Amino acid sequence: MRTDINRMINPSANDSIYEPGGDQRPGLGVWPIMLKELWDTRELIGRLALRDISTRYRQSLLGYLWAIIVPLITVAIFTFLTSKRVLPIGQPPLPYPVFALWSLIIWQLFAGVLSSCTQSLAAAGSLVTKMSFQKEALVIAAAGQPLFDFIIKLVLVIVVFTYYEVLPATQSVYIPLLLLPLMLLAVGLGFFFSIANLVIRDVGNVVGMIATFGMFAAPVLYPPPVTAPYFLVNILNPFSPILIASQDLIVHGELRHADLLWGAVVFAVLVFLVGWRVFRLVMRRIAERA
Amino acid sequence: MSSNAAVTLQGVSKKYCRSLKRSMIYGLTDIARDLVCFPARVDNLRAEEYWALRNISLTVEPGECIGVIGPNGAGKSTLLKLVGGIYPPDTGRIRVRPRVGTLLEVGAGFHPLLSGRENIFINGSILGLKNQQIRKRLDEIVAFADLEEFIDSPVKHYSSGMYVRLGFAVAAHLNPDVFLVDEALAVGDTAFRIKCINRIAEMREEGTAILFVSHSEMQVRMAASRCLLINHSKAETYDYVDEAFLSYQNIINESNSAGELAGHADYYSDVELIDVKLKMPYAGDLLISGDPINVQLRFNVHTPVSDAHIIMRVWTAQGELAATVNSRDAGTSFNLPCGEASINIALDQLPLVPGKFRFAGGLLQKNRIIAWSTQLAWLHIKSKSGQLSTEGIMALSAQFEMKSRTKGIDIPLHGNIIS
Repeated sequence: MRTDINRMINPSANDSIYEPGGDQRPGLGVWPIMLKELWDTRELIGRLALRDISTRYRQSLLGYLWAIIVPLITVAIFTFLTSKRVLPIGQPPLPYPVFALWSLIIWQLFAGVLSSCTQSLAAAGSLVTKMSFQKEALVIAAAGQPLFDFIIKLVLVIVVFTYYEVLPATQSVYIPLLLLPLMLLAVGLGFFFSIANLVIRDVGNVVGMIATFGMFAAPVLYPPPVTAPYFLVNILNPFSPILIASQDLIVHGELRHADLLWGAVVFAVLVFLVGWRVFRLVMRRIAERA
Repeated sequence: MSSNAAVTLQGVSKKYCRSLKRSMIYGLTDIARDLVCFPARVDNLRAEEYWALRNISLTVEPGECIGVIGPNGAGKSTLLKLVGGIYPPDTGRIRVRPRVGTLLEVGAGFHPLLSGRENIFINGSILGLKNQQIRKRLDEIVAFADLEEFIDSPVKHYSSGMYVRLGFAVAAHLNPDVFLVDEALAVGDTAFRIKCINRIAEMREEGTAILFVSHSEMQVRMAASRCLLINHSKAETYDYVDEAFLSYQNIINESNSAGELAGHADYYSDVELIDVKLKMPYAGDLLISGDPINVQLRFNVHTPVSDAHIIMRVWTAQGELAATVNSRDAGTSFNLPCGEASINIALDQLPLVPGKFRFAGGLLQKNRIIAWSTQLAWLHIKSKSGQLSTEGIMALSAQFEMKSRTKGIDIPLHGNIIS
């Protein structure tokens, strides 16, 4: 017989309050609260991400090798097509397989996080409608598995770089910092798409198409174009500046288009914050109609 | 209202929409208005909307267990989802302690490929517990669910009973401030249900506030300290579980008797029932539990009937058979000549629990029904003074005595043991 006295006498300041209109605390004061709540759910996010990672390949023979197989085949095909001049492209600053592989895994990280976050709520099923917790944990945790795949792919990258005797510039160590706005952008978009996908499942298909064909709208399999109007893919696609920055760091060891990069970073942070806030405001109304 | 209540609802309402298409449109407009911080007007219903819950107020203190009862579709599950913060209320305000454990669906949140152990950790984190706290309770959970052997196999290989046991064990051992249970014990064997009821009592001692939805009267009676009766989107709280179930029975009676009047099935062939009279110690249709009653049936006999016997059945309002009397069992049969005949059924006592009961019955010849009415009369039984229980069908009076054996001597004891 253990009576929790604290619980009996302490009127708790962090009681949850539910009122019409969702999470309606207006103004900037809401951000510290949201950040604190996010920090409080860090263990849950970690658990859910671990869950996705450990179940992803549990019923498969090749397991984690699958993370490597797809980029390997894609790069092999495109290397063949370009070497036979089927696809005439400009001269990349690195041997083509090295360039294509690096850009491809960066794209796959972005596309993987985007589609995984989009599917996260729909895939969670009864977790959304039958359990009580901060649902953004599901979306954020969905980024874990593509990130893990990315790390496996880095092994392949090391092998290919070594084979072609390419030594990346020392400044490449800053690349992890570039991954942060990349992830923020993908998760931020994922906030919007995941709730939309709960109501209209077409959204998932559209995002799947973006993940497949979107890479042609960024300098992934071809070097960043310099002629009009093609150079627009470097600017209009918010993913491109981050990708180009990573290529520049490896090849030149410096940011050649810093202004573009900063624009993309600001854009990514904005998308994330707005997406997160919108998610908070509408999540319950959506859960009701899921 | 006390400020340290675990759950407080003030004037909470929730509306739903009948049409899926309109529901989507309304949802989008509501969301748009939320986003510009200009919330929708909520007090009026738009086309095809209806109130699922209307103006509910409730305070649950730590350590209380509220039994939530009511007919299907009354809004019980909606209430739990509002308290759990899964759906937003349309009016009013809900204040809930931060850690809410929900058991709204068996195995909600279990990943089929993961082992029981891994799922315990995930469910614990969802409840906001630190890994260390979960680890501390792990053995307790596994022991409670009785799953020592299977805790490391994937839950997709679990039987439905094992699923239920694990689901309840996790939710009930992770020390939530508020525990919401919706029909979770409907599955599972009796031994486990008793374990669950006992666990709920323990949680109450630990200060957890519980909202318990169940259609099982016994479970609510054993678990709950108070009741919330929800009917047609309105709710009423009862400080005594007995009172709540009496009102609930009246609700069922109303809907039942309405239905029965419509489909009031009488069958007459050679003999017609023309009148039913109840003779009771008091006037009206009220009878004190245990009092005698006479039922007098008057028939109009068109064709003479010989060797007929009479059957009368007593039904509870829920449609359970409480008792049957059959004149053939008593060795009595009747020969009815043409004209009017009257048969009297004397019951020297009717020891039923308080509530509404229905008499049905008629005349049979061999096994052929000659006249039958499904509704001879409705009877309202009142409790005898001092008799409180309304559980079950029969009202029994009992004497209690205890004997104990100390140092080889039999000592008959009455009441308290004095040593």
